[in-house]
Amino acid sequence: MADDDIDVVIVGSGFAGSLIANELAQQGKKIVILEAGDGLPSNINRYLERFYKAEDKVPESPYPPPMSDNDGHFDTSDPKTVRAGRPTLRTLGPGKWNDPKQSYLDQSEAKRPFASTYNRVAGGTSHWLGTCLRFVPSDFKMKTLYGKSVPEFVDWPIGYDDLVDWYGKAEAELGVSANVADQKYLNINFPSDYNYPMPAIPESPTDRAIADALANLTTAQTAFLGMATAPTSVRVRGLPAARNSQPYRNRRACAGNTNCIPICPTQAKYDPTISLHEPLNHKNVRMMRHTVAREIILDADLRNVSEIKYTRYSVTSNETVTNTIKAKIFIIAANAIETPRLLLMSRNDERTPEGVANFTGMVGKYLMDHPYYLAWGHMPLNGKQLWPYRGPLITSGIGDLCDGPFRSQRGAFRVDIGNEGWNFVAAGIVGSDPHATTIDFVNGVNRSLSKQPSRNGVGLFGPALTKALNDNITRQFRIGFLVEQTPDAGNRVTLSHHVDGLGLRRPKIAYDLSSYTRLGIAAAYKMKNLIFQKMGAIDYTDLVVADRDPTRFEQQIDGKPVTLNYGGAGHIMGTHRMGFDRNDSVVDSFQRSHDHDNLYLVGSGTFPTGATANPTLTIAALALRTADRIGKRV
Amino acid sequence: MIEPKHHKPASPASTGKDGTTFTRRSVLAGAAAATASATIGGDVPAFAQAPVAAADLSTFVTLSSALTGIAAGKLKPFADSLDLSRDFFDWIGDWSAKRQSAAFAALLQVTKSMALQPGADGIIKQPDVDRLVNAIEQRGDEPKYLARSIVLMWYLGSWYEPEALKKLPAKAPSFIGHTVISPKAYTQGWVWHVAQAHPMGYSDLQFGYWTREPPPLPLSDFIGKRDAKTRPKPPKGG
Amino acid sequence: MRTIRYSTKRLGTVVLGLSFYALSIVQCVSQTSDSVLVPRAALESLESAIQGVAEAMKTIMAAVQDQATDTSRAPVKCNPLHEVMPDPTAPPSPDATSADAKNAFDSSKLAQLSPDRKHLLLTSGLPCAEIVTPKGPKPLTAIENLQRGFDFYSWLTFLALNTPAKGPTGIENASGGEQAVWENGQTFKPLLDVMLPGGAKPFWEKQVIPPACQALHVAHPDRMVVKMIEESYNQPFKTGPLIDQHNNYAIFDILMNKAMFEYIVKHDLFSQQGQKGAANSALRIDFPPGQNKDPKSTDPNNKDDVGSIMIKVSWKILEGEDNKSKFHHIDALMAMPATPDEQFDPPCLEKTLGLVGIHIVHKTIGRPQWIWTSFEHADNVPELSEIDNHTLKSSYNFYDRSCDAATCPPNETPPRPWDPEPQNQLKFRLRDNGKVLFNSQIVRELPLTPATKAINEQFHAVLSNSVWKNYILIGTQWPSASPCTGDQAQAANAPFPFTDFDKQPDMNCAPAPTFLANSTLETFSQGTIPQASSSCMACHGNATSYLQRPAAKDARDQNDLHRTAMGQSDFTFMLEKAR
Repeated sequence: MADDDIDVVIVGSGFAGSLIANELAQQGKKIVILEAGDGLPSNINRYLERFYKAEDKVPESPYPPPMSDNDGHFDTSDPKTVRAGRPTLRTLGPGKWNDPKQSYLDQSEAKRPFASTYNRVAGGTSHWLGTCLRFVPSDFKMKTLYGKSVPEFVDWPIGYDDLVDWYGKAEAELGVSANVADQKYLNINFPSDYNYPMPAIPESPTDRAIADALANLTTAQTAFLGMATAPTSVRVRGLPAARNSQPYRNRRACAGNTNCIPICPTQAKYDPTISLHEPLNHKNVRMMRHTVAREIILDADLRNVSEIKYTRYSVTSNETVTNTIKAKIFIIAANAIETPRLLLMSRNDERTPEGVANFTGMVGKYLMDHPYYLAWGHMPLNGKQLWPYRGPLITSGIGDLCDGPFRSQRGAFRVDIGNEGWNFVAAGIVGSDPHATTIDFVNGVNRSLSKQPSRNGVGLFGPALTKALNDNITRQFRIGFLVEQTPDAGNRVTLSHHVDGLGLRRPKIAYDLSSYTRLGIAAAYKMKNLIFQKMGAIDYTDLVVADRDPTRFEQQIDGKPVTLNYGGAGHIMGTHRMGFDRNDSVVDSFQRSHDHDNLYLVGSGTFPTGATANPTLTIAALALRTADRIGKRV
Repeated sequence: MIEPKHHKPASPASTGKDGTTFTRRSVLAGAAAATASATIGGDVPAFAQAPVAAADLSTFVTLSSALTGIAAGKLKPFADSLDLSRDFFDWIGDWSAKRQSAAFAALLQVTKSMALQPGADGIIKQPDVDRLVNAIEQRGDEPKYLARSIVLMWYLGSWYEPEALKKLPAKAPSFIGHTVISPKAYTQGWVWHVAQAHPMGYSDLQFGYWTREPPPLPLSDFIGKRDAKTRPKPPKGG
Repeated sequence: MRTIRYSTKRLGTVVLGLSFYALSIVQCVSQTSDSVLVPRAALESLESAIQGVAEAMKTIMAAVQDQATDTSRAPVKCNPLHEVMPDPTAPPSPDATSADAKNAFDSSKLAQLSPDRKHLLLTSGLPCAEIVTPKGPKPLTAIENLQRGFDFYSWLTFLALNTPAKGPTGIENASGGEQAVWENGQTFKPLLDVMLPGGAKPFWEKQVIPPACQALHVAHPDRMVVKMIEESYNQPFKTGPLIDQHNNYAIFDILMNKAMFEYIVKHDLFSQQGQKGAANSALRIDFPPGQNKDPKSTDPNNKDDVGSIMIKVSWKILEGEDNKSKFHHIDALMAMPATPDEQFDPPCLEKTLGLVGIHIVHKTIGRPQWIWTSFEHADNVPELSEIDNHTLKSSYNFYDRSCDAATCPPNETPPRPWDPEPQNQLKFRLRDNGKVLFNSQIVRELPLTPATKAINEQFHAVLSNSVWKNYILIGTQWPSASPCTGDQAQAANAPFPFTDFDKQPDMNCAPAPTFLANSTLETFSQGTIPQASSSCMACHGNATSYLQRPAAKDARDQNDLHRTAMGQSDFTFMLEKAR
């Protein structure tokens, strides 16, 4: 394929990039994909091997570049030596998160940690859970509905109805399992003959326990939620997921490996490499791996993009090659931190000192995540067993509480019900379960502060050990709350003076939680209390928040100070928002730059508000809609 | 990307081959060779050169069964396709050789000196376990904590240094590092079966299993001998 | 257009051939023994065994005569007799006392048998079920003895299936071009003739001929018709195609035997709609198992039965430079797969296909997780040790010994795109300058065990006149955790137990060996990584179907039958292919 023949260059092969490549390849377009990290592996064997051997089975553990040595121990390379680096969970702990010698993201001046990570490899953030929720219609109209009290909110330039068909197409492409009847809440609607591609994933015993607990409530108990009417029951619904409940497109059905994050051993969970296989089967599509885009070059009148400058590196030597690539259309699909980074780095010999596509100065601003409030507990030892560590990581959740009049006061939340016991909990502090619990019993200690009083170092062995482990582990559970964050101009991605292994400036993060968001977390806390109380469960949430936890904060709740903390959900949004008006947005609803006709900036960076639903399905729907538009152009 | 196919771990190695090992055993007719020495590069300390007698391996399995509360027939099945007990035995042998430690020998000796009778379900009873643990702990801190490392090997598939276990504070959140012995060891970890589940990332079950609770059987059905009397009958029309 | 594959007249010819064959065996058996070196005890037991064989052969012959009139039963009967036909190559039992017995385990033992006994062994037929024992001489362990038993069973199975379909030559003199029993269209049926477009009902004697192949099929009705889909050239779950040293795609096909076919038709499993239907809402997929008749049983249902067998084969396209005589080969009509854009009418190609790999999977009462056998052509690929020790053969089907590891890194998938282009006719595309772009350079990552190599040598010694001496057993994978397998073991017609329940926590019951891969069929999944590297049972244990259970009457009822075994399958992905 000659250089001047290329129709489309796509930077990044994650969800958005792969789906768009797939759509355009089927139309016969000539496409080059630039991927900063490793290319498409023929199979996931190396990934799985790395995962099994990893000391810490964090989301990044299977994926290159290897973050651990041959023994599975975490490798502490300085990010300035890594050529296509990424943030990792292991570098989010105290003393690490804001030290640019350890953390890829420069958070040295962030008020609070931005706690989410991503991958840079073909397929993008393949460690995702698989959740495929549609936004609720109100999510698109936050300014219209709640803007009076919350001036930060803006409306999307499109609504749910504009996306309803694209959601369906995205669900078909990803292979989503759900039942339509179960998903019609808060005005989510479907075409009358619509069916999800596959039936819903069956629920777990933990799901049923929580559903039972929330089946009979009093309005006094639920008044704090600020719903239009205080509910007397809260419904637990199946979580639509890109996880095969049947054989689908030559992939197996889920076997319940309880490992969706970080990697599904049977690829029953969709990941973008599945969509990448197809376009790469076309002669017109090429992927250049280990290729980092470093600058977007504009033509003489700064209207259009003429080419992208990239550096290609070798994995076996220090060799690099820098070159440019031309095309008719350019799509940046590098995620909501790497895309603004690239735009800001593109100074065009000082013709664009503020970066490309940045007439509004908004590129990088309004960085959002879903702060994740994690709670965990334990049924009493004479109480019900919940049978964790079985089935997909999450099979059900609570979405009915994510919209209501309360949104003019506090952030909404969605509830995740975990099936993996305490595996996710306090991992950075005591190590995951069941390891932590086992060590505690065998060694007679109480590091996770969760058991019966310390046995003073007297170990437990034999049948007493098996009974104690069975009694305890089978009663563990955890829930998580994804809280909506306001788009705040102060939360932003800029360029750090710290560079990566290619000499490119790394992303610098400024991040904080607004009072609106913290009130949302506080409401999540109260919901947690209600759930635990109704379950009769023992709450262990507070006990392991270390003094040094950089995400901890105090919140007055019902007149008393409560210590809360948050994690990152991995949902990076907002940094090149879409809008009607080129004065207050970076792209239009087709994710096309207002400033440059042939430049598209796709992905969750275009979300003007974050809602509470996992962004992936909306990323996919928007990507397909954009691909359709581009297909008509080229 | 070019990657080495089987990179050797740097620390005391497991056998390195996670597949069948009866090739090696067939070659070692008479079981006289020191398998441990095959896995250490370079200088082979005296301990590792001691022959790996079948009796020692069997004692190790008895010791492990007593400490873990899991039937010996589960740790080392009659027709053993995995040979995990051998992998662990070799690992501890390597570790002992590197540290010139006699703690493992002490554990085997104590085990041999005791009569540890399993019940009908193959599990050694608590009073015997307690006697064994007392006897071990009387031999000193090294055997005491090595015994715990052994339990954690079987349960979690990882090696936790006995020294690190000794230093763990009794009551404060703290992280302890470990080395995963091998993918095989991780996927054969026993804590998950004790929880009537499966290792995360390794399910041998079929779609939909998780929506049902595990069978209402005694735990010994997961970790001991199956008992036909306690197994429920299939429903009619199934 | 549907055609009847064989005329009744042809069927009669085949049956007569078998009868003649059986007669000649009976005649051989009645001759007295000759000068073979076996200890007295073993000799006596061998003699009585042979007498038993003679008796049984009479029964078989009678049954074979029956089949001249009964066209509904598969002509392949199974042989329960290898229990009385001892494995002459096995180590003697522990209580053998003579010096001869103790030294008897050597690799030339099989070759020392008289021609009659060799013949008897090689024609003993398809085992109904395995007969294995953990007992054997030290230092062999229980699992080694069992493995050996399974490997022996695998060879007998392989020989039985590949016996020439038409007389008069037997397997020990078979030449490359002789059609094997499994290829005669009466014993096995390709999956694509069962899972038809639109979920149409299949019929055993009917074959679907693609339009492009119609004319050629009429001209050459004997030729196997291979309808290609993606899985015919792209290994499972899109792991990649295999390109031989002459730039041809390797071709894969899946077939099932009549017992499996009948089960699928009986339960309406040949369509998605049928699988999802209410009639199947309580069905547990349970293909009929093979069994040896229990001599003490009075149950009329208890009889010798071969049960279910499924096979997967890999073919190499044979052309000019290939030495056809070293391959079992057939002339075939290949319907190329449709291209995604459907711009080309896929052509029908006439090709000679040489067998390079075969999986044989047999379900038995003792091993309801099935027994997984795999054979390959001996010249496919080298083992790592052969490369390290410079003991390579002169040429391989899928390896170029003159290309070094840097230029030809081993076990890599071809560059994309992978789909064959119709104009290239099953050759991999070339570079723009016409030179070869890629041939697969494949190495065997898990070596054969010495025991398997020994049994291969033993059988090759008696197949020296046969094309089948060019084939090697790679291994046999079988479920080894005996209480676990026993949970599912069932007499014929007994109800199937819970699946998820009884098989917890390991429904595969500890496969031995843990990993097994055929270099032509699981080329890129070789290795020892759990879940990822090829293990027949670990992968097939994940197979599902479209079975649906109705909603439970009480959502909280844990024992509600209808919550169990959703989408359950019986270790086969075939049901997923229903349309």
